[in-house]
Amino acid sequence: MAPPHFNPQMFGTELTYTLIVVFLFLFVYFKTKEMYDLTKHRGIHLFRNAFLFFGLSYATRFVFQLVQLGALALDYRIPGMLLFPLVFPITVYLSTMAIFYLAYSMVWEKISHQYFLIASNIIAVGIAVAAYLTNSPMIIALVQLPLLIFTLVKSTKGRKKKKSHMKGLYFLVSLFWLVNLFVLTPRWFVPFEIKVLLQLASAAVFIFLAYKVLKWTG
Amino acid sequence: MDRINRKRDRLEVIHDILKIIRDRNNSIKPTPLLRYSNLSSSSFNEYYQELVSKELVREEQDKKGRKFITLTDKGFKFLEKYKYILGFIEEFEL
Repeated sequence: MAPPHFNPQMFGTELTYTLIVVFLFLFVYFKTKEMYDLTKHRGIHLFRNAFLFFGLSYATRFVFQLVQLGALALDYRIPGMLLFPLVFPITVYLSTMAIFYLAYSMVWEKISHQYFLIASNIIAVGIAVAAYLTNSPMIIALVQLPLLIFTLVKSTKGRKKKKSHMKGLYFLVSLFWLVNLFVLTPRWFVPFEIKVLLQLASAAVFIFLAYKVLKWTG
Repeated sequence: MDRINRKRDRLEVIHDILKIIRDRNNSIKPTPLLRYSNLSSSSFNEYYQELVSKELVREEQDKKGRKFITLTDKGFKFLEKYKYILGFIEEFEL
C-alpha cells in the first residue's frame, strides 16, 4: 500500500467542515446565553457547556489533524511528535466532558452537581491519559462509545418529562463525534467520498439542532 | 386543575412573583407581594433574595421611607421571554 500523503482537497474539506461545526456549536452556546443569564437554570448551563465543549473538541481535533497532515506535507516529524501527545489527550478530555455534560443536562435534578463534577472529571482525565498512552483515536472512540451509550441510556431512565425527539438528536450529536474520531482521521483508510458523506450528514444534524435552538431564542 | 394541585417549579414561582409586581403597576409593597405569591414567609424570603441578587427586582423607597418592590429591565425581559424559556427547557429536556 502506498504511504499516506498530503491531500489538499481533504485538507480543504476538513477545514471547511471544522469551521462550520465549530460555528454551529458556538452559535448554540452564545444564542442561549441570554436565557441562562435570565434564569440561571442549571439544565441550560449544562446544555451550553456540552456544546461549548463539543465545539472546542472539534477545534482541537482539527489542530490534531493539522499536526498529522503537516507532518505528511512538510515532513516536520519532530514538532509533530511533540504536539501529537499534547493535542490528542486534550481533544479526548474535552469530548468526554461534552458527552457527560449533555447526559447530565437531562438528569441534573437527580444527581448532585458536585458528585457529577468529580466523577466526570476523573473518568475524562482517565480516558485522556489512555489517549496519551495509546495515541490511538480508534481505541478512544471504542472507549467513548460504551460510555456514550451508558450515560444516555442512564439519563433516559425514569424520566417523567414530556417525550420529545431530543434524546435521539443528542445521541446523534455524540455518535457523530465518535464517527469523526474513529473514521475521519487521515490515518484511517476510508474513501474520501464516504468521509464527505459522513460530514454532510453530521453537518445536517448540527444545523437542525442549531435551528431548534434558534426557534426558541429568536 | 393541574396548575392548582401540583407544586410549582422554581421558574414558575419566579414568573408568578414578577407578574404580580408588573400587574400592580410595577410597584408593590413586600407584605401584599408575600400574600399574593402564595408562598410561606421563609420560601418567599428565599425567592425574594434570589430575585434581588439576580437583579430581576429592586427595592425602592418613597419620600415617606416606605419600601416598594419594582421590576428591573431584566425582570421585564424575563416575563417577555418566559414562554420561550419554558418551551426551550421542555423541548431540550433540561
